[in-house]
Amino acid sequence: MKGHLHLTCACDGAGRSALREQSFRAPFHLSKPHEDAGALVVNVVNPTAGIFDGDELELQATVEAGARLVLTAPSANRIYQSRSGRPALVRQTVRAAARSLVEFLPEPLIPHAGSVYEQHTELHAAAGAEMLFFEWLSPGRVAGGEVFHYRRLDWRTDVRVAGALVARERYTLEPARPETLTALTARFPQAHYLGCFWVTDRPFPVEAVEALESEGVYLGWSALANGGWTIKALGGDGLTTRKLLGRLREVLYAAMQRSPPRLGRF
Amino acid sequence: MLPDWLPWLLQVNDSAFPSGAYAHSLGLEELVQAQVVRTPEELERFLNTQVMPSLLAFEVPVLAAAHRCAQREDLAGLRALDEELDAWKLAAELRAASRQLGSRRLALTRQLDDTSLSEAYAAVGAPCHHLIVCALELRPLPVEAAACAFAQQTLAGYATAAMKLMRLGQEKCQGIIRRSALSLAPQLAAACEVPLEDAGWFNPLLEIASMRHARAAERLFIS
Repeated sequence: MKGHLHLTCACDGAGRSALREQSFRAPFHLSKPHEDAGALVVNVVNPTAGIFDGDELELQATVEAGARLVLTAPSANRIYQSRSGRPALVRQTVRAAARSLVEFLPEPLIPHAGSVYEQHTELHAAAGAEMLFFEWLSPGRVAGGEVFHYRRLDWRTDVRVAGALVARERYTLEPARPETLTALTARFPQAHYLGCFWVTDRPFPVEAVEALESEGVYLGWSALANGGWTIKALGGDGLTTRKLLGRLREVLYAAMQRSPPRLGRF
Repeated sequence: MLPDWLPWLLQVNDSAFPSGAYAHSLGLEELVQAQVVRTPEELERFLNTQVMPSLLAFEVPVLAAAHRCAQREDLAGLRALDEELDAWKLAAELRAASRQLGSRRLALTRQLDDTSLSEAYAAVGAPCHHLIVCALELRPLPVEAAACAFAQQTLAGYATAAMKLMRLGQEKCQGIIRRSALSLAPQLAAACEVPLEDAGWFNPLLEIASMRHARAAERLFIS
């Protein structure tokens, strides 16, 4: 399946954030967007069971000057077993113009046994834009004992601020090569990985972020080269990681002197 | 007949070469504090399962690319790789340590080797990451030998830092370095051929450890 989602969020005549352009094709579907805390909240729904080998999905979101967009999803991204050996491929690009705010908040990626997945992410924040990007990688279907049973995950992420590359990640996780998972599992055998890039000119809320540490969370934060911050955490289980993500989101919104928009999920 | 570069290699890879590496643990101090690496056996496992795979999948391919640039005196290419390393190194403390070690090495190379290429590179205002300066410093060597020298510096850096962090004597430390280097060496030639676009490694543990070390209340090492 080849699907796409192209969105442009801009301020309307009344200064409210609205979708100026939208184009999507299955498996992408948009639920009705709503406005909360000054931002447009768009839930991206995948009405199929998940992502399969050979799927090629492209997501492009652009937020124009002054607009605020929260791009989220109501359910986990499940990557199913690759029967052909080919990967499922997701390319996602998020662009934020000056004075805009964009939050990218997916639910966890759950790679099933035998899955092969490739993800390319490009984040572009103009000078003066605020961007909050989260990613959550689970070890698999833990409740069923399926922990790190996927075949291969390929990850490519670039973050640019005002045109300058500030963060680059490239890696492959392949349980058949245990050394690719050693660092992930050394602290917690069933570790969930939570990554965050936060582009902002605001001061980093050091004490509030460090207060999120707990027995089941190993967390660090750092300034990136040439602008922005990264927060990385390993969580001992899914519930701990979900709680951490929720609290981290609240802390970062508080640092931006805003309320976190409600996601509209019940 | 001995190769012309051998005395230079022995000098710059000598533990007495004042690059400042002795002041860095590159995240290991926090991993010891966090009880992830507690014993000499765990140190050796850390080197074998975390440090060496990262060398083979990321540092050595980048070093090889930088070495090719240095050999053809492509300062623009070298600087581009150097600046890209700023983005690769997400933890500010690891980024600063790499720049500090590289800048110190470049200053020494300019004094000792007196080459116009080192002078020219110092003048361009690049970040001077350790890996890039090693490629520049070791450009007279075959690329595999330069990779071996860099890998040896890395392994020895962690192992000697560990002597201050756990019960580990000099002989045991040297044994760990020797076994690790022997295991790594046969894989270096292939790592030098990894295309730059395929280079990369995932070690959130070491990144988080370095980030936490920067905020530690007590510490022996700069990084």
